[in-house]
Amino acid sequence: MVDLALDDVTARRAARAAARAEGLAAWRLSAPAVLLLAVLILAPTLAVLGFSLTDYELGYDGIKFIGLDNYAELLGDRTFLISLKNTAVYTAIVTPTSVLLGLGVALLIEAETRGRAFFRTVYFLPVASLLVAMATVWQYLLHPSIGPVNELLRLLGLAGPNWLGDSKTVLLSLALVGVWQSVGFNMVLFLAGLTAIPRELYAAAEIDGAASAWERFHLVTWPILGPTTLFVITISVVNAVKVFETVGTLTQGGPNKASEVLLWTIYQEGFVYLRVGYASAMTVVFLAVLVVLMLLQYRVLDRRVHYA
Amino acid sequence: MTGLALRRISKAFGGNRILQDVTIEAAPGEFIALVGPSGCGKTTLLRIAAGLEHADTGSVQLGDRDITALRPAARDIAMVFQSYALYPHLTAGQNIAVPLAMRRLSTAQRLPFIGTLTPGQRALRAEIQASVRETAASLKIDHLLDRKPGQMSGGQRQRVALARALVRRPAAFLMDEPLSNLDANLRVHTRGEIVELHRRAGVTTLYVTHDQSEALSMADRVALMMGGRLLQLDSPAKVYADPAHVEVAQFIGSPQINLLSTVLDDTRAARIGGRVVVDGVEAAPGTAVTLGVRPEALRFLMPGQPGLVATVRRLEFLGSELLVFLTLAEGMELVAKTAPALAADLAPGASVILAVDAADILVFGPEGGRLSVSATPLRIAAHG
Repeated sequence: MVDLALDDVTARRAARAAARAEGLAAWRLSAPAVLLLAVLILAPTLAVLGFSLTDYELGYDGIKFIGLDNYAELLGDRTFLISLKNTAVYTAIVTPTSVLLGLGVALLIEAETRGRAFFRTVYFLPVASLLVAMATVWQYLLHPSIGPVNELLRLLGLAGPNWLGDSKTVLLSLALVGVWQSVGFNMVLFLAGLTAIPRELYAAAEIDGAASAWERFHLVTWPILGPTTLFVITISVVNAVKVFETVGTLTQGGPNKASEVLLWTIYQEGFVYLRVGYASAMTVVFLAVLVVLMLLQYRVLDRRVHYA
Repeated sequence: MTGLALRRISKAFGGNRILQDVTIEAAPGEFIALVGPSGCGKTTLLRIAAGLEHADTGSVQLGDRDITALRPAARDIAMVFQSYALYPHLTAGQNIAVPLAMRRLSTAQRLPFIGTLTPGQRALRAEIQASVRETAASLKIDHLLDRKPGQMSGGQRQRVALARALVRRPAAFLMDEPLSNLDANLRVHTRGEIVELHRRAGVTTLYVTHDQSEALSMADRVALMMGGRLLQLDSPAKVYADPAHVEVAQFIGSPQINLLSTVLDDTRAARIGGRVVVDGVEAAPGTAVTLGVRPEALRFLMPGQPGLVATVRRLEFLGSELLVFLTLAEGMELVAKTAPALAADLAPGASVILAVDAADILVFGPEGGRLSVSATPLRIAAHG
C-alpha cells in the first residue's frame, strides 16, 4: 500500500513536469511567429496610436503630447467628414455591385464548360493589371469631349456628363472603375466556392421538386455558398474602403473635394503637409472603422453561414 | 400492370457505350436490385429512371404513364443517394420537409417572412410538419429533427435521407448504394430495415448495389449487369443456382465459384484429370468449355475411394463453416466450403479425394453462355 501511494505521488510529479516541458516547447516553437507578429503588426499599430496623441510633424523638432486634441480637431474638420462620407458612399456602391456581378459571372461561367478558361482569364485581367496604368485608359474613356463613352451617348442623342470633372458624377465614375477592377477577383472566389458544391445536391434538389434553376439556386447554391459570400463581402468592403490609386491618379480628391476619400486625406495630411500626428489620428479612425465592420460581419453573419 | 419499366434503354457518353439495349420491368411493389461491378452502367440506368440523365433510345414508364420526357421534379419518384445528399444548412426536419414544401407550397409561400403572410400557408406548414414527424417516428429519428447533418453520424444521416424519400409517398423508390458508406455491422442491420420498410410501404423499388450479398438478401429479383448489358434478371435463388452466363456465376456467390477449363471429348463429356465429371453436354465435340462448381458442391470422400485427388493448401475457419483451399493433382486450384465438423482432420499439406454431383456442375461455352446438359445426370460423377 505504502509503495503504491509513493508511486502515485511520483507519477503525478512526472506528469506535471511533462506538462511544463510541453508548455515550454510550445512557446519556443511559436516564438518566431509571435516575434514577427509583434514587430510587424502590433508595434506599428501601437506607434500610430502613440503618434495620434502628439503634435508630431515630420521635419520639425520637438514632439508634444496633446492627448485627444487631434481627435477633437477631426470632429470639426470639414475635409475629413466629407472624406468619411464619400468613402462610405463609394463602399456602398462598389461592394454590393461587385459582389453580385462577381457571383453572376461565376454562375454563368460555371454553367457552361465551353470557353471556361477564356472567360475566367478575361474577367480576371483587371485584377492582374496595374490600376495606376489602367487609370489612364479610364481617363481617356471617360473624357468629356474625346472619350468614347460620351461619343456613344452622343450617338444616342444624349449629352454625356463630365464624368470625372463634375462633382455630381465623379464618385459614381470612380465606383465604376472600382467595380470593373474587383468583379474578376470576386468571380474567382465564387468559382472556387461553386466547384466545392457536391453535384449530388443538385440532383437531390431536382428530385425533391426544385424544377427551376432559381429554385435550385435558392435551395442549394446560395446557402452553401454562404461562407464564400461572407468572405467575398469582407474582402470587397476592405478593398473599397482602401480606395486610393484611382483617386490619386484621376481626380486628386476633386473637384471641390467631391472625391475626397479616407486614404487620400490621410496621404495629404501625412505626406504632403507632413502632419504625422494628425494623419495618425485619421489612420486610427480608419482602422477602427475596418475593425468594427469586420466584427459586425462575423458576429451577425458567421453564425448563419457555417453548418458544422 | 407495370410498376416501373425501363425499356430498350441505350446510352453513350461521347462514343463510350454505357448502356446497350437494357430492359427491366418491375411489377408494382416489386424490389429489384441492380447489381454489377463498378462501371457496368447500373447507376446510369438508375439516373435515367430518375430523369437526371436522358437515354439516347428507349422509354421509361411509371404505372401507366410514359415519363420518358418528364423532368425529375415532375416524375413521382424519390431517390436515396450514396452520399445521402442532405442539404447541409437545413436541419434533419427541414431536410425531410423539402420535397413536401416544394410540391405543396407556392414560390411565394416558401419565401421567408413574406411567405407567412400568404393565405393558407400556416395550415399547409402544419400539415407538412405532421407528415415529417410521422415519417421520422417510423424511422426512429424523431429525436434528431433539430440537428443539422454535420452533427449526425453516418447511420443517422442515412435515415434522414430515407425519410426524405419516404415522406411524400412516391410511386417508386430509387436507391443508389445507400448502404455503402456505413460500417459493416450497421450495413447488415439497415439492410433488414430497408426490406421491412419496403414490405410496409409496398412501393416499387430499384436498388443499385455492387455487393452481391446485398442484392441476393434484399431483392425480389436481381438484375445482373456487366459492361452496359443486362446479363440476367431472375430471382436470387435462380441467379445463384442457374446463372445464364459465366460472368453471372462468377459475380454471384462468396467465395467465388470454382471454374475449370477443359475440352469436350468425342462423346461430348467433360473430363477433369482423365475422369468424366459431366457428360451429354449440348455442344460439338472438341468445344472448349468452362465447368463451374460452387464451393459447397464439393464433397470429401474417404481415402481410397475413386475421385479427384487434391492437396490442401490452406484452411479458413469462419465459425459455422470452413473454407478449404485445394490444388488438384492437375495443378488447378479450387476452394471447397464444408461444415467444420466434417473436415476436422484436415491440415495444410494433407491429400484428399473430392467428389461432385454432375447435377451441380454448370457448363459454360467458349463465349461464356450457359450450355445445357441433356444426359441423365450421373449420381456420382467421379467414376472412370
